[in-house]
Amino acid sequence: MLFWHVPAPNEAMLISGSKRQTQDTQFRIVTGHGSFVLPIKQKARMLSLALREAEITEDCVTQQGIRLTVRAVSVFKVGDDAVSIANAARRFLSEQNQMEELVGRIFAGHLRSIVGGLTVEQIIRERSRVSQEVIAGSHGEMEKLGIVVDALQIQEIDDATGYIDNLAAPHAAAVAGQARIARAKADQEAAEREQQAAALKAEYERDTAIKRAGFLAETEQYNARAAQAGPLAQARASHEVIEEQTALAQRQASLAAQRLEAEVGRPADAEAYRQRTLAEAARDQVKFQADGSAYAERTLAQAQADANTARAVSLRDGNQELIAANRIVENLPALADAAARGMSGASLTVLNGTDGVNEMAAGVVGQGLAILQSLQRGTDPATAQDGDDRNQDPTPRIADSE
Amino acid sequence: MRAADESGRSPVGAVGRVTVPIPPDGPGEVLVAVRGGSEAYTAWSATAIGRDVRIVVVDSVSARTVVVERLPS
Repeated sequence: MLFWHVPAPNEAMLISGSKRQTQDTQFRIVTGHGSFVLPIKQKARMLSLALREAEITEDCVTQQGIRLTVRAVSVFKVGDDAVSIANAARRFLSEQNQMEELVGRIFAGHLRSIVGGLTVEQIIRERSRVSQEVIAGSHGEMEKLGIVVDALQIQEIDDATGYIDNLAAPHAAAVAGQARIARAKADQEAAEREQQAAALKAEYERDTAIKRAGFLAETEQYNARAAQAGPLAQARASHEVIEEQTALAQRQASLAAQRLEAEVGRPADAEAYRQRTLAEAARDQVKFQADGSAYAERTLAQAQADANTARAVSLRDGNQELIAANRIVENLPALADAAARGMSGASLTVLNGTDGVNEMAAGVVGQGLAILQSLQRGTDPATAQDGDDRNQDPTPRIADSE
Repeated sequence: MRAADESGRSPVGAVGRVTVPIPPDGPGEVLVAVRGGSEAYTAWSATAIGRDVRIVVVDSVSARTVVVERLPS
């Protein structure tokens, strides 16, 4: 239809020249539906209610007096209510394409006041405070223009004084320090681990070396033993040989000693014995000679005494026989002497000690007496038979010492 | 003509929630369900109301400014 105008969903149709005016405006606002627009009599214009954006770059000073260059994006639209549409239509209807520029310029001033009410930290951190400032600073003015600010986004803050960097510096330094500390710790730990590993490695190497040395020593020991075994055996053998030789030498020495004993000692002993025996014999001979001579003298003396006694008796008794016998008795010492002399030249061995000597002497005397008796028998055989019947005179009788 | 145009609808009585905290001595912002969508209004209140608290619009000061109160639960 030529005269039926319908606004798009994001448009408001403003019809001027209409008599039916719902609001107090000089024109009819139509949104969301169509309407007849009579040609010539009425005029329709469309106002876009779509979202628009304005970029603002502005030098601002914060509450702390820090100069910042803020680049912000303001997103706005014409309000959906009749008042806003009317306000916006009256202002922007013919310059809709310049709306962003105009609003941007207006908003730049607001941005200064918004930033001036905040600190840098709040701008950076507190979004709700920024929004509050935007509302407080720009709401009245925007309402005049019939514009609703949907959002104000601060896109970039250019900080000429380096305040933000300085603000960040302690944290950055702390973080960097922590990072360095962590790195150092990690390094240290790694180094420690490495050192431990190296120490362990060294320990294992040491143990291995010790074991190896031990085995080597053992091997060497056995080798040495093996090497010594020959000489040792030789030494032992030679030791045994020497022992045998020693034994042999000892035997030879004992043999020589025995031989010496036999050849020299024994003859010498024999000789010594002989000499000693000879000396003893000589000594005994001398002794016996002395004894013999002593005995002979004693016997002679005795015989003399007996003879004297007998003579004295015979003198007293006047016994002829005795006188006759006296002759023989007188000769007795001479007989005994002769018997003794017969022995004195003889070299004899007396084996019965002193008794033997006495026996000999007695024998000698006995011989003397036997001679005497035989002589008496020769002179008077009668008297020899009855010798016992004779008077009991104490004639001395030499008992046979058997 | 039927009154299909809702551009004159007042937000009074509408329920919404706070998008920018309302200080006791300054404006905040509320998002109110109106005209089949949701629109942001500058909101004033006698008491401070925190973010995301449900409110009811009790008065309209101007076209884009309302007075709100906490929605009694």
